[in-house]
Amino acid sequence: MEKISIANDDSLLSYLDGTLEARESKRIEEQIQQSVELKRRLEELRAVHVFLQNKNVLLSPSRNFTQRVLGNLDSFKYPQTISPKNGMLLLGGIVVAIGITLSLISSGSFDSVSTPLSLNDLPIKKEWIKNSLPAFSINPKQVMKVIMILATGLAFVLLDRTILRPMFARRSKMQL
Amino acid sequence: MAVITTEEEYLIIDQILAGDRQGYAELVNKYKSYAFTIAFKILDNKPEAEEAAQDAFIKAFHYLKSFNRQAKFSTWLYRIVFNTAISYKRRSHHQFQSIENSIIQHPQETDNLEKDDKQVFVAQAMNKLNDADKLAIQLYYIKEFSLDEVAEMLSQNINTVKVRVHRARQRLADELKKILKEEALTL
Repeated sequence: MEKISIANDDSLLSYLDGTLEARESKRIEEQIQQSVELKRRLEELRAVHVFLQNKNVLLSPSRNFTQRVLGNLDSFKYPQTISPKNGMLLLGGIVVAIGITLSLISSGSFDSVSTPLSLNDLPIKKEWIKNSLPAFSINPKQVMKVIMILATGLAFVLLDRTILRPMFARRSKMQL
Repeated sequence: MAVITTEEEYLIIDQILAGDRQGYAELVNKYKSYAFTIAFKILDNKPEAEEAAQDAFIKAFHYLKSFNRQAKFSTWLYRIVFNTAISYKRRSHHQFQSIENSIIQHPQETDNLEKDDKQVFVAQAMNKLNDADKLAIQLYYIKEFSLDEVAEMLSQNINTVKVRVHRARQRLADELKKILKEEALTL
């Protein structure tokens, strides 16, 4: 039994779509006349073609569709998102800031700095305080570390929202 | 309804951008069936498709300034409809079901189909296609949609869409042949 090639299938489909040039269309018609297999295949493809034509007709929305669109024009809210370009810039800035902070910490710039903070120095009336308040010593190195952790978290969120999510959304749309 | 030419369409767009909101009704009336059909092909749910199509028109109205007139207005609009319907689908986690499937489920709508067994078998075969192929051929077969427009809507290369549409129909024909053969054996 004669096997129908993909090229023949493509020609038959283009013939059904009416996208072949007159000469090509005539050539395929002659081939169909000479081949039982091609004729049978054309009928199979035609059944699919007719089915899809019948099933994919235009549908009508409800009668008040246009009025509802015009009535709701002001309900639109622009999405509050960071554009990919701005997100990339912000992400770059955060990465640079983290890099600088890391190099400062590793070079020991914050090691010798310590800021004592006494609660007794706060502008509170003395008669309100019975006992003397404790004094704290703030370690800038620890503060910088906390800021760095927060900045790293922010960088990951930005990476997700402005680069990864749009990228995967585009990819899933391509697959669909 | 009178046919609006591209030039007239641009004129209407200029009027809308100048503040004439009522002019937008002409564009909505012209494209509402297409927008609704595209949304329905994706969502397979009429109320949701209607909501998505309306949202798309509202979105298009607010972004009309960004329409650069390099592509056709219809193509630009259909992309907005497509993207809006896709985001509705993601939100509602609806499983894609072809309308062909729902036709099989509702006997009152199958009267014409049942007259032709082959058509019923193609409807069965449609369910074996993947969502992407199903959507591509459904959009391609909506009246007046060219391969260019389908490709534009799906953000895919025209050749990719052409191959997808051809291969999907070949698979349907192969399935039909298989089903017919099985039917013949059971007789």
